[in-house]
Amino acid sequence: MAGTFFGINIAQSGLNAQRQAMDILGYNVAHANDPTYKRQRVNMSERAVLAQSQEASSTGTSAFGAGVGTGGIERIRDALIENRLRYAMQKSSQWDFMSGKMLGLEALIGEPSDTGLQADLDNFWNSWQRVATSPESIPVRSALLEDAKALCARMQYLNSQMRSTVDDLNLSAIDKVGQVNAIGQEIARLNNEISALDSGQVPVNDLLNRRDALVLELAKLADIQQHGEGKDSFIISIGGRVLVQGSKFNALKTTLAPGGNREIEWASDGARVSLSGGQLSAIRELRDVSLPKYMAALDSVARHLVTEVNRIHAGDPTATPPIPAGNTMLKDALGNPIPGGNFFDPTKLTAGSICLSATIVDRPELIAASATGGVGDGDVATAISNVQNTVVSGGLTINQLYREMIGDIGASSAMSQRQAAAHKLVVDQFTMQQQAVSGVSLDEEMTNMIKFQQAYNASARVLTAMDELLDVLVGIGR
Amino acid sequence: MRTSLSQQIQTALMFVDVSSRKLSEAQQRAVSGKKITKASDDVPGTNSSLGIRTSLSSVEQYSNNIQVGRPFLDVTMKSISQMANVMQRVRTIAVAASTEDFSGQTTDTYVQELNSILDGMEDIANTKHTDIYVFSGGRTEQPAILNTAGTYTFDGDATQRKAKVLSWVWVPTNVSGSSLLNFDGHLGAGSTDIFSAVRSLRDMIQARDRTAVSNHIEQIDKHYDNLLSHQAQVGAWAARMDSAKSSLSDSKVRLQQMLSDIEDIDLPTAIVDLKAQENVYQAALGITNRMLELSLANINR
Repeated sequence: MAGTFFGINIAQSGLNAQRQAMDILGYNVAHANDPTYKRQRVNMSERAVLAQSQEASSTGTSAFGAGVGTGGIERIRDALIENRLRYAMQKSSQWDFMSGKMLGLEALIGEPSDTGLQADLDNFWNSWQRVATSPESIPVRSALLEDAKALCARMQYLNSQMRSTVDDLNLSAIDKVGQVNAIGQEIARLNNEISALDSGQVPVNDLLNRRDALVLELAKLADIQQHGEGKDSFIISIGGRVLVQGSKFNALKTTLAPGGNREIEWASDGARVSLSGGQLSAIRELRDVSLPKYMAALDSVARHLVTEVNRIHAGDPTATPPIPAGNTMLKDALGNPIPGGNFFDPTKLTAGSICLSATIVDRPELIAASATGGVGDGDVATAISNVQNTVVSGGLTINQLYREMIGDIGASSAMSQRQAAAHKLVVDQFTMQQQAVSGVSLDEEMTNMIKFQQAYNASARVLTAMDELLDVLVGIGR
Repeated sequence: MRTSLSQQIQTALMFVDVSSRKLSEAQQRAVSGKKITKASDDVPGTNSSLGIRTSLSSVEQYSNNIQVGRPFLDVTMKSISQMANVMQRVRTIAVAASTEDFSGQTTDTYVQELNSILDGMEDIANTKHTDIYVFSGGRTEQPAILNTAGTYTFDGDATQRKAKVLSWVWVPTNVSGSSLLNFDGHLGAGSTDIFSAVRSLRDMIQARDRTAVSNHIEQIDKHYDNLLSHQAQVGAWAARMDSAKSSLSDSKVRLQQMLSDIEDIDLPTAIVDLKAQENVYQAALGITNRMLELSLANINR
């Protein structure tokens, strides 16, 4: 037979349980707009009778429980969805970063427009035609020199802007590696705290939420993998190497490589970090593959421009048949025309350095437009203006080489924008799914509020009834 | 499936976000009037657009070349026709001199006229257009004909000046004095330059040698025909330039049309699109507002 106050205890346990459920409900509602919060639920369970009475066990009647107990506070989550969200986040932030930089590069190049490098190239070739039509005119020749200088300046500008994009990417690498280290350290510290508290009965749900949020942050930076949940089995790895294990943390670092790039390495042994997702991987892809390719393409435009124009302007005895040098407007002491020298500086064969030869830069009369030496002859200028339509490399003209580079940049940019949009959609989908499982629904909480309120009221009513029963009992003795 | 508050808010945000981005894109298209503002908007379109821009720029340059070159042909044509008129007069004199008995007076008149004709021919041969001696070949800075004490020498060269009028098409813009005035002797053995021919005629008339004058008419005719054939040639070049010019202006319109088709938006479509996106955006805002108001918390007070 149960004790006299057994019923009162049961009613009281009901009051306590409903109260705790209301507390957690309040906590959920308070976090309704916290994107990293995962809703919690009080698990109610039967409370076993601590010491069963002799009678109950001897007669074989099973005793009922001693009220309702709270079996802990549970975080509602789906680890599979979180894993998928993390993976989608890596891809999404990788392509997002990439498309941002590519759009910047496109803005820099500013094609198609009337003011890009294409327009400067067109002006340059047209200027040669003008010289071919009016070879004796000094103003027309000066205009050619100015157009050539503008062309050189534009190529140098484009090159310097691409170079500074690479510099920015290196700064980003330093910055992002710093973030990986800060987040990794914080996760290791949280692991330490969680394993210390979890052994006792202190709930660690908030710490776990914080850790989940940090792991998601980390996924934006690199293609991390997470395994295990336990004290020392919670592992985050990048490219197969452990970044965080329990409370232990292996840092990354950047080292200055020859050539000025910042290589992303493991701090402990300087091994290259293998990356295939996240912003760090986008930085590497842009810096080591894309931009060098575009810079090389621009260099090739510059190199062909310099060599093809110089070949005709200064002549090329090694060609078959040999190309004679053009003639300037000047005559030597014997009255023979002075042959032309280099138009572009032949030692400056890159887009970053291309410039006019020092002798010609402010001497329009030294432009070798004439084949015969007569100042009214423009055959050499005509030949140079034809370089515009001459195939120089791989079946392409100089203009087409440049257009190929623009097409390459445009296609890469369009692809990264499409990828970024597609992966953002995936991230949104998984975020929705994750929120469907773990997010706080105000309607649900409101309904539960009524539920717990009613249960609390009922428990209180039971308590009052028990009290009345006891009153009757006490009344008998009077 | 559960629906949480964050989910509702995220859905609302996605909806508003997507429609506001589309609105802003539609706005950008309508304001800039361009379908392609950067290479990634349309990669093949950008390639065509760059190519067409180059062609347009070339077409403008060709027109410019014609504009510079055409006046030289006009000047050349006018000078050659003056020269031909003069030679016709020379021929008339030669014919007259070969048939009539020379009296002292008429001889002197002919000699004087021929002398002044020689001066006039020198002037014509040294015609300048914008500081350029048109008959000097490539040596345009100096007169074509040097007159040293009545001996005429050609001081230019045989350079053919050209203007590019279409890709791979050049039209000559000058006639060298060496061929026009037969300093190169292409009129055959025994032929002289035009000045020597006129001078010989003058000397024959002065010597009253009727037979010689009569025999010399053939030389004068050869020079006259040479001038006419050059004139015809220059006329043909001018016609080629004119036809190139009109085909260039056609090309220009066609290229601009192509560029516009590739780069420009259709404004009515853009405006309708903008209006449609605006409505979608307003709907998104309205629906979001309505949805977020709905909550048990508002009713269950």
